[in-house]
Amino acid sequence: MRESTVMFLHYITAILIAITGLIHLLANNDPAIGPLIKSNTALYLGNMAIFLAALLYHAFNGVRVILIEMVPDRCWTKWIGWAILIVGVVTYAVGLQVLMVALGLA
Amino acid sequence: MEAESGYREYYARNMRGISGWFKVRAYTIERWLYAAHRITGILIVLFILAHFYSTGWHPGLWWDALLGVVVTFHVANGIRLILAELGLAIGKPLLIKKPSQRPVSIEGVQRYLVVFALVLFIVLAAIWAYYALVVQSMMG
Repeated sequence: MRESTVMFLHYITAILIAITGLIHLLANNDPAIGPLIKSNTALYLGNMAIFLAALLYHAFNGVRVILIEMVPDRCWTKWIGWAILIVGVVTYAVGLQVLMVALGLA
Repeated sequence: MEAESGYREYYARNMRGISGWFKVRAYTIERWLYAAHRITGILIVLFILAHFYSTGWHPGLWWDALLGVVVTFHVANGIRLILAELGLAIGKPLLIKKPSQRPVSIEGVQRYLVVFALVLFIVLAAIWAYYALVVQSMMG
C-alpha cells in the first residue's frame, strides 16, 4: 500500500475513533445515556468492533511512523511494517474475543 | 547515485533522534503542538496497552482527569491537523510578497485554527474532568 493511502486511512480512523470513542466513554461514564446505549448489545458490540479496529490501526501506525523515522532504512521500514501489521491483527482477534465475553455473547 | 546521496543526507539530518522532537525554539507554535501531539500519542498508546492487558483498567480519580488532558489535547490538535491536511477552514493560499515573509500559520487565516484547537482542548478537558471527578464519584 502506498504511504499516502496509509496516512489517509490514519486520518479516517482518527475521525472514526472520535465518534465511536465518544460512544464508548458515554456508555461507561454517563449515568443517563450509558444504560440506554448498553441496552442494545449487538449495536454496542458493533460500535466496539469498529472502535477497536480504528484504534489499533491508528495507534500501531503512529508507532510505526515514529519507528521508521528513528530508523530511516528501506529494509527496516519494510520489516517494521509487517511486524506491526501482524501484532495488530493478533491484538484485534484477541480483543474481539475479550469484548464478546465481556458483553456476554461468547 | 543521485538518490543514494539524497538518502544519506536525509539519514544524517535525522541523526538527532528523539531529542530532535524538542528542538522547538525559534519556531512557530505549531512546532510545540507537534512535540506535544507526539508525546500525548505515546502516552495514549501506553494507556491503551494497560487498558487492554487488564481489561478496562484506568488510573483512577485525579489521574483520570490527567488522562483526560492528554487525550483531549490529542483529539483537539488532531482535528486541527485533519482540517489543515484537507485544506478546510484555513483560507486561500497566501501570495508570497517578500522573501522574509512569515509562515502562513502566522499571517494567514490558518492562525485562527490554532486558537480554535486550544479552546476546543480546554473545553473538552473540562468536560472530561467533570465526568472523572464529579459524575464518577456520584456513580460510586
